Amino acid sequence: MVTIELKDGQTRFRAGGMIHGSARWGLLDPPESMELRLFWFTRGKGTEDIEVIETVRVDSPAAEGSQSFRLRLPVGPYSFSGRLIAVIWAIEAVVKPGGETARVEITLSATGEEVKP
Amino acid sequence: MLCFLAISGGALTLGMVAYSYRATLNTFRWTAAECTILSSEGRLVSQVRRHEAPFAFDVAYRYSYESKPYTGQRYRVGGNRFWDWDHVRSLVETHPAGAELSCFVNPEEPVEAVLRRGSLWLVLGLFAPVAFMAAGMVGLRRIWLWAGDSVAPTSISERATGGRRLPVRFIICGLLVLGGGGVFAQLFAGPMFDLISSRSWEEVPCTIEYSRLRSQQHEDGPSYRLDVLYSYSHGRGSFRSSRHRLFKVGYRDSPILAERYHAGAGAICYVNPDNPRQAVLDRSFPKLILLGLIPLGFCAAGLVGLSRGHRATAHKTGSVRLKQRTTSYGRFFGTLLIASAWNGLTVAFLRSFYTSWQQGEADWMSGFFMVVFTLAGIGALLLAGYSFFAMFSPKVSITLTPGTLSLGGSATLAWKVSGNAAAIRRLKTWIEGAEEIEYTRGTETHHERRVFRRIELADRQSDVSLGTTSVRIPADTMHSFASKHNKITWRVRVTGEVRRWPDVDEECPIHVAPRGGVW
Repeated sequence: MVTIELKDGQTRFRAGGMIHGSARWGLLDPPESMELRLFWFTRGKGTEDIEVIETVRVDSPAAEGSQSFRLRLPVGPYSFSGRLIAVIWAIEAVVKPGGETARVEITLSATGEEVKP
Repeated sequence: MLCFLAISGGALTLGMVAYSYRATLNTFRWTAAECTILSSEGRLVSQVRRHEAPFAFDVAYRYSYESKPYTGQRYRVGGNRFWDWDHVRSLVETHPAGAELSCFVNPEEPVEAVLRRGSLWLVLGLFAPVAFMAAGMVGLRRIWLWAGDSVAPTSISERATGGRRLPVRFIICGLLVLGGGGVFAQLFAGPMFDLISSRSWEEVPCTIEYSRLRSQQHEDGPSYRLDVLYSYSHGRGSFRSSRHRLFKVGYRDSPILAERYHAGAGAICYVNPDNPRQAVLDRSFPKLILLGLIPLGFCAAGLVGLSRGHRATAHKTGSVRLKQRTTSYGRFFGTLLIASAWNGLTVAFLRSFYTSWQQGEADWMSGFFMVVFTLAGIGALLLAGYSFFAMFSPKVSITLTPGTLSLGGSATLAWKVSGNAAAIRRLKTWIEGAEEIEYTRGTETHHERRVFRRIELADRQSDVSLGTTSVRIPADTMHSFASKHNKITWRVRVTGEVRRWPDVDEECPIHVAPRGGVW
């Protein structure tokens, strides 16, 4: 099992701000690696696009453990929800091999609120 | 099914190409050896069969293999005969008696040797079937992997990091640029350069030594090509050439030409005074050579594809004159190209349909499609005509200060109308933000655009030739964004109603940055 916890449960962030949190995992066997990824992706009628902004990698972790992280958010793109496109930010923890994943969606904008047209 | 077709079709084509070129391909396994040219000369073959080249490169060379001496006479696998005398002459010059060169010896039959192996252009001929097979294999692998997954992967970010992707678009666009540019240079630019430079060539009397008319059957009758060899003097030298015309394609010779250029006849040829080896009998310009411009379209498409990959993020603080998304000239030439291509094809089909109709073999279904195609062709011509007149509509140039807007920021927009500004009854400007997407359904790619914000700037019915207005982008909207398939775009739009003439309709993309930064 893999989980992500953000400091104070905060999921709304201003562009350029910092995200603090930690990832916890409890597996039967020690994995080869665990990666924490900050990324945005699109959702909607158009073909999905994804860009990973930052990755924190932990090599040969124990079967159980946790990793805290501090990630600097870029100035954009803002989280956006339109009629054709949605731009969504998220943090994922991915364990390899196996691909067990935890994901937390966050909001990034000038005010912390999702932009709607 | 498509993947299997691609693999099997590619394999079959590859096999056929490889089989037909097997002799040439074999020479790449032959051993290089030192050779000494014993003799070399060019010769007009006295008894030439119907589809044989008339000029021969006679060469003899000595080589040794495993300490045994041999003598060879073959230049290449395809033989020593050529269609172009200038090529034979250059071979004689590059293979003089006494020269020491490399030749290639068949290790299984050392009496077999050639001076030149197959052309590297052969590799390009193999490229297409190999590319088809590779595409089919990639497709099969993807289907295999997808079918093997009982559960779709839960990680979204893994889809972005799952293996390095080949920059396919850049490879394809690069090939279009190189291929289109190369073919354009070969078929049009090079011959056009010769045409222009040949205007200064000198008229010199020449004597036809040999001529032959070759014929080929086509649906609309036979076509002829004239092979000719003529000699002339220039300065202190005597020369021979087989170049009939400046362009290799685009002509249909006639039997009358063979009578005019029969062996022994005198003629006038045009000789390059800077290089008397270059001469030509006919400097005319065939209209069909304009088809050589078509590869330029492919080259341009490739350049457009390469340039679109560049994301513009420059933050401009000074005044910036905005560029239009498409110009009126571009729209005219684009519609003219499409109308010409469409109507060219339609005329060809109409001729064929008319012939069938005259013979009583036409059916109503073909007639229906011909009507539809013809109407579409007429529509395309009308659109091209409208675009032509639109080129002469008043033009609006727009300047934005500063050049980049950001959310919550403001700028000054100034416009200036050139041309007949008085003809504009009403001028409107506004800024619009839109969502743009691309998606695939089956084998077709679709695009959609939806405007989500419109900010009115100016609406004038008088004094439209010059003007300024302030622009403010709301802070609570979305900035410009571009990924491979999804975009948020902002544009300045200007429309002008013109009495009895195509209206003014301009679009200028602008970049709207997030608050406090550039993305």
